[in-house]
Amino acid sequence: MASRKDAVVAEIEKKITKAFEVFDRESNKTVDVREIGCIIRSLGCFPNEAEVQELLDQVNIEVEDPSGFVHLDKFLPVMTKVLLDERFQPIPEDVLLHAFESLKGYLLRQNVILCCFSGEPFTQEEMEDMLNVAVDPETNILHYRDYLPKLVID
Amino acid sequence: SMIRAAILIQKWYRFTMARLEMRRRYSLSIFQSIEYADEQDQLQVCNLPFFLNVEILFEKPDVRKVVDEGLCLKEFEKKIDVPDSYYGPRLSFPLTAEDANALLHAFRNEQLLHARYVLQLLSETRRVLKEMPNITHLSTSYSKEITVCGDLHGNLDDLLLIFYKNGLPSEQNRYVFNGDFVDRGKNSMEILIILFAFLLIYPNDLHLNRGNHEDYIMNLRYGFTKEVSKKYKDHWKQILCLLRDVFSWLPLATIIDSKVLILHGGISDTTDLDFLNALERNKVRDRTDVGIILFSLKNSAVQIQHLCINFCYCDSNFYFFFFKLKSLMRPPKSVRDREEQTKKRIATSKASKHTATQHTAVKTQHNPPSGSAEPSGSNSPPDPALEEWKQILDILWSDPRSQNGCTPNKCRGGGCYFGPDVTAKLFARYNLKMLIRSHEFKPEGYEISHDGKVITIFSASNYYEEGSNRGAYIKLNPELTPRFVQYQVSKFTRTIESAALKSLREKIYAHRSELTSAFAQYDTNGTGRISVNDWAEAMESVLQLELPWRMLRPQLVQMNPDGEVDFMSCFYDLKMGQPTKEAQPALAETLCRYRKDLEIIFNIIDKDHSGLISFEEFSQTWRLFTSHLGIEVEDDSIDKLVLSIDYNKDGHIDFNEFLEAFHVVHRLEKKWCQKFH
Repeated sequence: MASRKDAVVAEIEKKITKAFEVFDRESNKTVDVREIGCIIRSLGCFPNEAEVQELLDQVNIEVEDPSGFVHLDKFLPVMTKVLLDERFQPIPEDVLLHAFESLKGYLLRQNVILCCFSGEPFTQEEMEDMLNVAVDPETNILHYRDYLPKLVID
Repeated sequence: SMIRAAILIQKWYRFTMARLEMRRRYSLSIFQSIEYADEQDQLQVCNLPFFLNVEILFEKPDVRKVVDEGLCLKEFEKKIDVPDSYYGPRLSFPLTAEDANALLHAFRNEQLLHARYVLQLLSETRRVLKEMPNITHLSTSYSKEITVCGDLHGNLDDLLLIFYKNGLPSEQNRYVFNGDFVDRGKNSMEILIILFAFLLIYPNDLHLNRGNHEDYIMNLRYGFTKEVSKKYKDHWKQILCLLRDVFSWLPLATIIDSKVLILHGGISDTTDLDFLNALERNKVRDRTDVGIILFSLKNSAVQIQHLCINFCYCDSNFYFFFFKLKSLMRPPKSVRDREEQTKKRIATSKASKHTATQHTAVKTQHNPPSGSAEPSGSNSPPDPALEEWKQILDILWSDPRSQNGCTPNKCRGGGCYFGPDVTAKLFARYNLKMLIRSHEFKPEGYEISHDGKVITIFSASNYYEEGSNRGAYIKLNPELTPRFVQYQVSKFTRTIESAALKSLREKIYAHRSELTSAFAQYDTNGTGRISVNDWAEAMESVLQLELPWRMLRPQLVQMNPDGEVDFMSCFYDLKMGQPTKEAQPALAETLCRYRKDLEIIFNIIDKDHSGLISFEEFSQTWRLFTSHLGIEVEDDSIDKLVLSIDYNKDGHIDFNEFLEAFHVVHRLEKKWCQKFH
C-alpha cells in the first residue's frame, strides 16, 4: 500500500538523518566525507571500501565538491534507496568463522600484517588497532575464537 | 582463498569499528547534554529575585577578616602555625622558581600545601591581580611562541603533562590559561596553587583568564568546595572566602598583538571590549544567595512558580518554607513552549537584577523582608549595573554556532550562541584576526570553526570518563599561526558508553511520570506500544536533551517484532543507587531529580562539612533565614521541626534524613494543592 510505504520511507529517512547528525559537528547538515563510511556502517550496512566509494560517487554525482564535505540533502536519497533495497547486508557470523578457519596456520602476527595489506589494505591505524586487540602479545598469534565475538558485537 | 578470507575479515572489522565509533560519539553527546542541562540550572540560582545573602553564613569575624582587612603575609605567619612534622613545601615570599619546583614535586607525590602557605599565596595573588587591567595585551615580538591552554577542570595530570611536553612557564616560555581551572577533577586546589605560584614568579609571562567555573555557586555544585573542605579541615572557610575574592579579580581576556582575542566563553552581538576594559570586574561576582520564598496559609498566599526544592514545615500556624535553587526554565508538567519560557526567564532575570538590591518580593502577597541583603558593616561591593553583568556573562558563557545571528544560549541558560556574522562584525570593529576560546568539550581537544576564525581549545583529557577525549594546547608563533598539540593522559579505551547510559537512565527515572503521560498521549489505543518516531519525540520533548534517540533505542527500551516500542519497558530494571524507604514512584523521582540541589542546601547548612547537620546548625540557619525575612518563629517550633526530621534519633540529621523530610513535603503539598485549588 502506498501509505505504508511512505511511512516506511519516512522512518528510514529519519533514521538516516539522526545518524548523520551524530557526526554533524557544526549542526549545519554537512559531515566530513571521511565519516560517510562510518555512518553507512552504523546504519547496519556492510559495504567494502570500494562500495563506499561507489556510494560517494553517487552522492557527489552532480557537483564536484572539493571541500570534502557531504551534504545531508544529497546523502539522504542515495542512502534511503540503499536501505530500502536492503543492499550490503552483513555476512553472517558463521561465514566469518569459516574465513578465519581457512586462514588457520597463517594467523601469526607477521602474516596478519600481510593480510592487512591485501584486499582493501588497512591503514596504519587500523592495522595497529586490530593487532593490539586481536593478537596475543605473548604468543604473537591471533586467536580467532576469542577475537570473533569482539568483532560481532551487538 | 586467502585473499577472500582476508577481505571478509577486513569488512567485518570496519563494520564493527564504525558502530563502535557511532556509540562513542553518542555517548559523548549524552554526557554533554546532561552536563549543559545541569549547568543551566546553576546559572538560574544567580537570577532569583529573592535573596538572603549567604555571606551571613560566613559571618564569623575571623573568616571575613581575611578578605576585609587584607591580612598580609606576616599576619598569616603569626596566626597559623606550621608544625615541624609538616614535610611539604615551605614557601618563602617573594616566590622563586625553586618554590615552584618544590610545589610540583610535592603535588606529584600527592602532598598537600599547608593552609598557611595557601592563604599567603592567595593574598599575594590577589594583590598582584588587582594591579592588572581587565584585558591584558601581549606581544609576541620578543618570545618564540605563546602557549594557550583551555579548561583544566582539576585534572592535575593534564597540567603536569603539558609542562612536561611544553616546558615550565618562564620569560622565554609564555602561557595563557583560559579559565575553568577548577571543579569536577580532584586536584583543583593544586592546579590553582601551581598557576598562582607561577603567576607570582613570572607575572608578565603567565596569564590567567577567568572562566565560568571561577564562581562560588558553581564550585558548590561541581565539587571544588567539597575538595577544599576535605583537604583543609581547619581553614577551608577562610581559603574559600579569600578565593572568591581572588576569582573576582581574575582578568577577563587577553589580546595578543592586537589581533588574537582570548577569552573563556565567547562573544555576543553586543560585546564591547572598551566597556569590558573599563568596568570594575571584581564587582561582578557570584550571587551566593539561597532564594527563599516564604508564605503562610493564613494570608491565603498564592502559589508561587519559582522552582524550588520543597521543604515543608508544618505546625499549627501552617508556615511553608520553600527553598528553591532550580531552573526557572523547566516547565512544570506539560512541555509546551520552550521559547516562551526562555523569554520569560530573560525578562524575569532582567527584572530580578533590578529588584535584587531592593529585595522586593515578586509575585507574592507576603510582606517583603525589611532591611537590605548586606549585613551592616560589611565591605562587600554593591551590585553592578545590569549591562556590566550581561557583558561578562556573555564572554564567560557563550558558544559559537555555524548559523548566523546571536540567539540566547538555551543549552546553558546564559550567554548566547553566536554565528560567523557576529564574529566577523566584532573582528571588523576591533581589527582582530582570531578568537581563541574554551568552555566547550571537544573530543580532539580542539576545534576550528567560523571559517578558521574561532578556535576552541580544551585541555582536560578524559574529561567525562577514561578514554573519552584528548586534551590539547595551542602554540602561537609570531606570525600568529596556531599549531595544535594533542595528548591524552591514559590509553584510549572505547568503553565510556556504559557510564553515559547510566547517567541517562537516571534522568529517565527522574522523569518517569512525565514520560509516562507523554507516551500515553501517543498511545491512542491503549496498547502500551507506540512507534519509534513517537517514542523518540516524547523522549526528546520531556527530557529536553537533543540526543540520537533512535540510535539509543536498543539500549533503553524494548521493541516488538512489528517495530513498535513497548514504552513502559524503559522503566524496567532501573536500579537507583539512592536507597529510599518510600515506595511511591513519584517521591523517588522527585528525590532523584532534586537530589543535587538538596545536596547543596545540605552543605550550606552543614557548616563544618561533617556530613551531619547538628540541631545547632539547623537552628542557626533557620533563625537566620526567618529573622532576615522578618518572621518570628518560636524556638520550640524549630526544635520540634528538627526532632521530627531526625528519624534515627541520634541527635543529628544526615543527608538521608534530610531527603526523607520530603515525605512530608510531598504529602502536604498534595493536600495543600487540593485545599486551595
